Amino acid sequence: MYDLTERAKARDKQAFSSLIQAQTQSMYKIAIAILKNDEDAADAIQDTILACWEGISELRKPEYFKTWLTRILINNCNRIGKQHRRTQRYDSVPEATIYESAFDNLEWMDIVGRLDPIYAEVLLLYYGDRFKIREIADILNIGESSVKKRLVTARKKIESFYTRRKELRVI
Amino acid sequence: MKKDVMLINSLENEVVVPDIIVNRITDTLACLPDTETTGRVKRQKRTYRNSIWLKSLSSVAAVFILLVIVCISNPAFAAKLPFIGRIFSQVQDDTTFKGDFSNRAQPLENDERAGAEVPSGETVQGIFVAEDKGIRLTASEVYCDGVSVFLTAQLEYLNGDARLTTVPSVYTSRYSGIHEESEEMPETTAQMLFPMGEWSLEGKTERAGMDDTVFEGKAVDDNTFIGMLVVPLDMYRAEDGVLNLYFKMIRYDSTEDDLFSEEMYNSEHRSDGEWNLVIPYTVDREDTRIITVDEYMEEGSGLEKVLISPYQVIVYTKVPVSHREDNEETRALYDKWFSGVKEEEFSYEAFLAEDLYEEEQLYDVIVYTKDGIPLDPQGSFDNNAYFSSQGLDVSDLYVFAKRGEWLSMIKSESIEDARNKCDIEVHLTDD
Repeated sequence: MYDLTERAKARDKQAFSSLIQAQTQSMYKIAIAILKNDEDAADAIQDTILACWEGISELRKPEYFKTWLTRILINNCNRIGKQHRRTQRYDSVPEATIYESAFDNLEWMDIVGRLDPIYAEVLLLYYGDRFKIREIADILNIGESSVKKRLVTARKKIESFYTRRKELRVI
Repeated sequence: MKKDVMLINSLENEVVVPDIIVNRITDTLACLPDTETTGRVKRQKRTYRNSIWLKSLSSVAAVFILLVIVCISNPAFAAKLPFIGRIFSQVQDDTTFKGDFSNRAQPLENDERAGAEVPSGETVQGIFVAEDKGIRLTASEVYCDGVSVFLTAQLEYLNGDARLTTVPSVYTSRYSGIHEESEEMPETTAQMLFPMGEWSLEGKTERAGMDDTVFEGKAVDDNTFIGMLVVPLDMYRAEDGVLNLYFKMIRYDSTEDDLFSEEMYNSEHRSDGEWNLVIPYTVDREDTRIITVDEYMEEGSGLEKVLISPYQVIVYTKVPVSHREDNEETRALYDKWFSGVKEEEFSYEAFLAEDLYEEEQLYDVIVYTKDGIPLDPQGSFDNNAYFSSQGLDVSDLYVFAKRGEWLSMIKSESIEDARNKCDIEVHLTDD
């Protein structure tokens, strides 16, 4: 990957394309966890690819490529999510469990989709992408202890999703 | 293996990426421009997402209080600080916790609040000014409703090398996307600085970290910022007290930042130093009410109490809890989940002590005024839902709670809509 990044910095499109395609899974999981629908995720990923291509020659440390890419992606996802919240009435925002394609791991999407994005982000970055706590803190621009707290809270939420519901009292 | 563990383990598994994503990536890569663009990339405004759900909700209630004591006894010094004593009035309409603080906040004046008695009987001298690494903090006014300390302050970069007017504005209300903007539900923004450090209550608590604190307000000029900090206390504190703040870092973002530069990555707008402050505070026991609700479902979960202050409403819910058993399986789970975390940062004992909920963790809660205006939700933590009172009349409130369906209540469009969807309804009045 180091060689690919160096070549991409030299404006080698093929090398850059290889780098990006290797991150397809990661980018998709993060984007869908934040934005909850494929169309917005596609927009965010597209904007991220273009932004990275524009700035890759400025990347001084090639080993930080994935961290750098992820940070830009999350920023784009947050921007798109905010724009949609400004223009849509809330009842037109998809339910957390809606996704537009069939996945083998539907339960995964259901649970991650129900989490607040700030929890889904850290879960995916830590367990999905295997970023270190310090790296996640840099990507999300928060303190390391905040990352840990969010991980703990996210796991508690996931645990609670699997507990059996009891009949609700009707008022 | 428990399902939640399987889910965590599955996060690194591959998923089927839909065609729309694959095609978009392919098309974008096929159309990469040949020439480099010139000029800086303008930073977008971003929604305030800085742990807003966790903001001010640390279990040790450690948000940082920015305390700055101005030497009021020195007129020349005071003349250089025209905002001191009236910063609330400058920022209170745009910050997250809105409202009129003018008749409740206390100015920090050295001669009147020089000291405060702490539990040991000792009198602690207030410290309202801190200066280090070319940055001076000056505390202005303070207000405490028993669960949070609201503090205003002025921040000055003395070397004239800051660019505070380029700090991005972020949204301080959560209405966008939930309800249409209106006079009662304004869509407000504020600039933000990000300090980090520790805090403690003199004679009452140990030091605890401050990670999610933000300093909301506005830049007066490139080197001067005024704003409000909200420090959540660890619990409701009916007694007056003394808050110690130990700041170690102050940082800000700039719209001029080059997103792709190493400087941006390393945060060039960061100052590491030491700014220690001591702020005596008085608890407003007159305007803050704690109402016992004790409305529970059959299995024991429900609404325990509601705290109503002039600037926030907190709904305390209760859910039956259990804890993990100390066995090999639990130990293996801890080792797997915390492989990158040091023992002293989060111990196995702490893992065993974590509360586990038998039902879905959170009640989704919404609070309406009698006029049908929903209060601005500020997130939830530890099963408690926080709302900004935003200057509305909170003497007559409707609280609606539904278990297990995140955002279902916040999405409600009216009191009637919330009533139809909720599991628990409570009407709180002054009568």
